[in-house]
Amino acid sequence: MSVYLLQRFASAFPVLLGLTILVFSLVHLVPGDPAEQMLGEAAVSQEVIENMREQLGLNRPLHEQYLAYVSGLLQGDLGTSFLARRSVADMIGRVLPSTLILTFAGLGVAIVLGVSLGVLAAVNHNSWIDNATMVFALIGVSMPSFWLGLMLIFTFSLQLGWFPATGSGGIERLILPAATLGFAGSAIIARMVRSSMLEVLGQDYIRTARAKGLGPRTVVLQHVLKNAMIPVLTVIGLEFGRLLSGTVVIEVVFSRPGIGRLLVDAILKKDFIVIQGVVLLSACFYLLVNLMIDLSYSLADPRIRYS
Amino acid sequence: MRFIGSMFAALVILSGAALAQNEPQMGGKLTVGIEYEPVTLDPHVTGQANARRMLHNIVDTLVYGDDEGGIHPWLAESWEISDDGLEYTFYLRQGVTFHDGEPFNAESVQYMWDRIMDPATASASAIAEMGPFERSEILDDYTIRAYLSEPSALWLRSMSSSAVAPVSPAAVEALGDRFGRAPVGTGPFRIVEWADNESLLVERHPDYDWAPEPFGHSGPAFLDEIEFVFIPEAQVRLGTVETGETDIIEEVPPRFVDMIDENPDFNLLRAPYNGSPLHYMINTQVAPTDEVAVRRAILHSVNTEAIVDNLYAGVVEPGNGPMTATMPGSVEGIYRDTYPFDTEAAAAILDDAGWELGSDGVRTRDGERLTVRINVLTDVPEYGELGQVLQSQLGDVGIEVVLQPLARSPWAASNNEGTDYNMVGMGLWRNDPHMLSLLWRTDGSAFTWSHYSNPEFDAIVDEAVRLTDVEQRFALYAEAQAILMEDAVSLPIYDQMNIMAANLAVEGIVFDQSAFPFYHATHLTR
Repeated sequence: MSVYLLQRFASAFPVLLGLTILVFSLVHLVPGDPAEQMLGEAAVSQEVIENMREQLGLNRPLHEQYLAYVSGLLQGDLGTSFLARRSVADMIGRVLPSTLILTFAGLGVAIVLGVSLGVLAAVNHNSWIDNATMVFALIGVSMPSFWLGLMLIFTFSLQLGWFPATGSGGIERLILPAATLGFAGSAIIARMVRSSMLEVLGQDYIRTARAKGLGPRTVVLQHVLKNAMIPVLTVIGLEFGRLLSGTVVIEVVFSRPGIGRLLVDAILKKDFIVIQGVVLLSACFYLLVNLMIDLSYSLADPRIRYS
Repeated sequence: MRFIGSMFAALVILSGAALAQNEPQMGGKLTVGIEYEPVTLDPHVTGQANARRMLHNIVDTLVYGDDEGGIHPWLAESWEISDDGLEYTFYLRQGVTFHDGEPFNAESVQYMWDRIMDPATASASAIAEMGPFERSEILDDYTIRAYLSEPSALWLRSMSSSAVAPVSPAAVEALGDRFGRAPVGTGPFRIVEWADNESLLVERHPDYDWAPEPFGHSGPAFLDEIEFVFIPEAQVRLGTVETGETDIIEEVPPRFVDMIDENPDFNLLRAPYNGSPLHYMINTQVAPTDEVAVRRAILHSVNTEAIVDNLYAGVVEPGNGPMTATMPGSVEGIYRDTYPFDTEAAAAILDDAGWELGSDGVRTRDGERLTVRINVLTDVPEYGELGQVLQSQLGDVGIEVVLQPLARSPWAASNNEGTDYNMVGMGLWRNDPHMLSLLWRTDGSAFTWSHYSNPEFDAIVDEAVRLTDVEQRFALYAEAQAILMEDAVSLPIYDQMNIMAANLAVEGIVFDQSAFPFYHATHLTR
């Protein structure tokens, strides 16, 4: 197991390296001079622009800039936002908990809703319940979360007054954004659970389980669902990444602090150092979660061993 | 596109002159919904309008200027200007303290000016306010003299901008780069907490006792606290004032105004932004708009009343001219007085110039089609909508319009280059008619997108900026506006407006001339 872990971490290394090159190039791929871009179109003196180049190290050769960037990263330094004059690590650190809470809450919604609907549809295969669930899933996949968020705010905040429309802190401010975020994910998970379960339901050992007199509840939960979970786990892993990027829209609509909102603000203000930091961090999360999903396969299926 | 200029801080008291009618009660917390979070609140660094909206409740300035060009004492009790206009001596108010308890004195004023001038500060807008400032000299603890390199009619008023606000030198030194998160000024409110992406909480500065005379009361603010909450989505922001999550919201989009206007539970507050209207700068260097006849025909062909009614629900006023109607020194109605909406007049001008109507409805001359290309900034949807309206209205007189959608950077680059478009929409917020030079003087500034050059106009605005007599200055600027209209370099669309919605419990909101709300005299009736 530990050897496998080491291998996995080692294989993540080239990915991370490529990522740093990509993120680093971001500043230099933008048309025009990055220093001028960041300062905006306000008429500023050449002196100010030069000063900014100096501080950002933009006047040094490209490879030196890259090495400085990577060595900074290795020391946990994501750079300093020139506009806000704050360390990017600090800016991200302050809002990251809010994004993680939202993402996990959204994932929770997606899993609970998705698995329940998937099971329901599979067990009632080819009935109206199955059809209704799949129509629901289709709507869920197609509906833009931006629109859904506004509709939920309109219904539950403005009309019914049940939840506040903005801000963070407290479960009442988490429910609407988490539901919005998790909705699309639940649709994808439901479809995967359904198809995976239908496959398992046709297996011989299920017939055996039924033949030996196990109740339908036990069969579905103990035998079918557990065996159907492997492909579902993969989807959940992919979903996590999608949810993390989905927070960009949700955080803006619900005025929640978070790295998604930070990213949007940074893009609008052309604060490249912040954009780099958020992109890099999100990618690392994605890698980490996929590793965790791979490891969790062994929990779902003891036949899978890592050596 | 919006830029902030020097703050006049003249007051337009809305919400029914509440100050005079009700005995204001102390206490309470005001929650304000604001569109976006500023990058920094360092007054000397920021160039963002939203930083200003909050900042001028946190900092004060040396002088206070009203909308008729008058200047009032604030942190400076009085001042003298030398006969040659190069030396300004300020006699400062005593007993003023910063939020950290440090005294305000001549040293803090010198520190501020030096800090703004220092390139390491990377000042975005304060540096522009400093104009021809060269150096300062402390005469005693409460007297300081500034030396300018040339006379400037703007300089004293520039000192009323919240960008040029004294801050505690001790706090700047102690906080370093963190100062922008927690600026320490002398204003009626001081910062308690700035939660990233979420809100800024300020509380009453209890020792405050130096508001300028036009504010109506000089003592501490009535409110205990103000929380500025950042709500980027316009519809959600509007929703929060209905649910009571906020008491007042900024930047109500004009198309949502009807919803609030018809609701008796809310007040709609409107304050005009000064500067240029949202207007189209017409390029005088690129054919066919290098021809004054074509430019004049364009000005006759556009029905701004219809645009205001259809796109903006009639809540804003049609464009006044090179400057908005409320701008000091503006000639009221100059656009429509010079060029009434008259498609027949436009057609006659074009006929006389040899542009003949073709069978496809587009005019031609010697095989050239009369095509006008408009640079459209894609970041702001409004410009796309306006572009389509112009396409249809100019099409009615046989002018073909081609829209050139561009993202901000290439858009700005194309505008500066000036070789590939005929018209571009923009708006410039400024409080002094000197803005005419910024837009139309030969090589005037970063925004000379008409690429206009007229020595007669240049001479007039150059003389005006050196005059200190308001009447003489405004007379010159009136001439300048007439020249701009005669040469048809600007197509004014509408005078921009800051539209806010507040619940009925909020009274005594005061707008400065930059149309930013001032909460020093605000109080709650609940």
